[in-house]
Amino acid sequence: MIAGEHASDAGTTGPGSAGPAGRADRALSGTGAALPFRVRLGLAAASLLVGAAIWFPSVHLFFGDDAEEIVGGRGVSPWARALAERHLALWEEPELRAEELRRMRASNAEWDFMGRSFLVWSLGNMALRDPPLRARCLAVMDTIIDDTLLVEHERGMFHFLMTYATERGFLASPARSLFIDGEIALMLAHRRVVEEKPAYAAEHRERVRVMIAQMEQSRVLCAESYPDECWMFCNSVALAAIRMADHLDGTDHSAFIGKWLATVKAKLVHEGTGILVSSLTVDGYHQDGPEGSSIWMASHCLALVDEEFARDQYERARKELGRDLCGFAWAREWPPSCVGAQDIDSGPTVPLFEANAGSSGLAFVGAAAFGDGDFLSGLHASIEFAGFPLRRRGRLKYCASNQVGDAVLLYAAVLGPVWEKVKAGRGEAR
Amino acid sequence: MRSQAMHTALGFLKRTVRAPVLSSRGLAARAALIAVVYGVLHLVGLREYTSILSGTLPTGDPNDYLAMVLGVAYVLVHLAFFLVAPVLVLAAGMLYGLEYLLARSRSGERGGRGDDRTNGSGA
Repeated sequence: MIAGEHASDAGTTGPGSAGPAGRADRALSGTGAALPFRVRLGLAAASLLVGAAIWFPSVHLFFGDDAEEIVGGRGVSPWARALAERHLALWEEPELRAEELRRMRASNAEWDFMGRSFLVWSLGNMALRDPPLRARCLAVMDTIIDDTLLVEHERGMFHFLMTYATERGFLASPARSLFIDGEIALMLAHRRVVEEKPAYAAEHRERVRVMIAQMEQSRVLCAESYPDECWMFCNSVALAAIRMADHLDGTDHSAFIGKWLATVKAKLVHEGTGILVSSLTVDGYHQDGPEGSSIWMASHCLALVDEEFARDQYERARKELGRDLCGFAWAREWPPSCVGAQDIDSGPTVPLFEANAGSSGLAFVGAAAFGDGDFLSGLHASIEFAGFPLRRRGRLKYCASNQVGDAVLLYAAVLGPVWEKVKAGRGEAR
Repeated sequence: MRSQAMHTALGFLKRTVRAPVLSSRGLAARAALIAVVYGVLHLVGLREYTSILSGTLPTGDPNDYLAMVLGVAYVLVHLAFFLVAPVLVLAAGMLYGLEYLLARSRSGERGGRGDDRTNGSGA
């Protein structure tokens, strides 16, 4: 043993041993005298700090993709295909669907319904992006639409609503939920844009008639989704479905749409942020302020009727709700100036960062719709890192998400062609 | 030969596991431990349990607290694997270099004093 060496707490146990291990140990303490604790602490702390400074800004490089890779140009990106494959499997394999629905409905019955909506809207866009997929997309769209209409008919609209929908009566009589009517109408519209189907045309026109009648009963032209509870998300979706009916049927609801826009701009914009409020009563009383899980989708739908206003809403939401750090991006549920309550739609929020699951997922839709490539890339990096992707047999799901969350991501990756077709054919009748 | 190699390997492992935190070996050992735990949790399929983050219970049973705990555990180890372990590895490398340089400079000083004594004694 070399004089002066001893087993110490400087990582030099067994320094007297021969061979590489011994030489390494001796190297750690030179002649064997232990480094003072403060020196070791300082060196370790400095190394950790430098290590963190190198690593943290680099992590996103292992998870991110360019916006072009995510949304796939004019076709369907590999990422979107993998997401779609899993959803198509869910609808083509009944046992798989039943299990997924059981898990989702245990938390929120709405998610069953919204998963269907977002998937149908996605498939409509995919059919236009990639003609070879058209037949398969149409088949699954029809399966979902027919099943949804059947369930609604047999079990009533409350099957797709949360239980509090029955705690008091709807103001409309008979009771109608714009959440249900609007999303079904938009599903029918997407199907008809890809390929007309007379049975769906009649159903679409009837839904539009009912929705407008219900909205006109309100002072602010907004209809209920729950008893005396109107949601901007649902009313925007309804407006998109009405606009698409005009494109498909040659009707003209521009006067109603214009009146609706004027009303919401005057009465339903949050004063501090300039963003549309998320929920209100039929009389126009604001219940919740601007919310991420509403405005991203609302701004996307409003782009079909007022591009300038929609873009303004998106940019305001981006500023108030969008956040990024070291290449990762996420979205808050509420602006810092008006934090509201968490609800089941919002999903969990990561404290300190205020990263909200519902808002971040729907932010994909906003970012894709308004060509915000940087934000989209950052969101994608975040979902790849913290969404726990699982890729099996060409299918992709995010374990931290659920069927509706993944359907939202798919929609964001493929949206565009249906809106473009409707805008290009303004006033065109079939 | 084989038993000597095994002995060396076991000795190395023992020293590594016992290495204090504030050492290059200690940091590397902790990083390796995180990686091993993450690998095990991933292989047994706990990634699916992270569905609790979306409010969807992995087994569909709202009272399945074990599933929730497993989901949280996976999330924490995942964060440790991607955020903590690489920093530990980088820090271990840097710390090894720093310790080596420091040790060499001390060795150089003592070697000088030792030569002086040796020369002084006439040996």
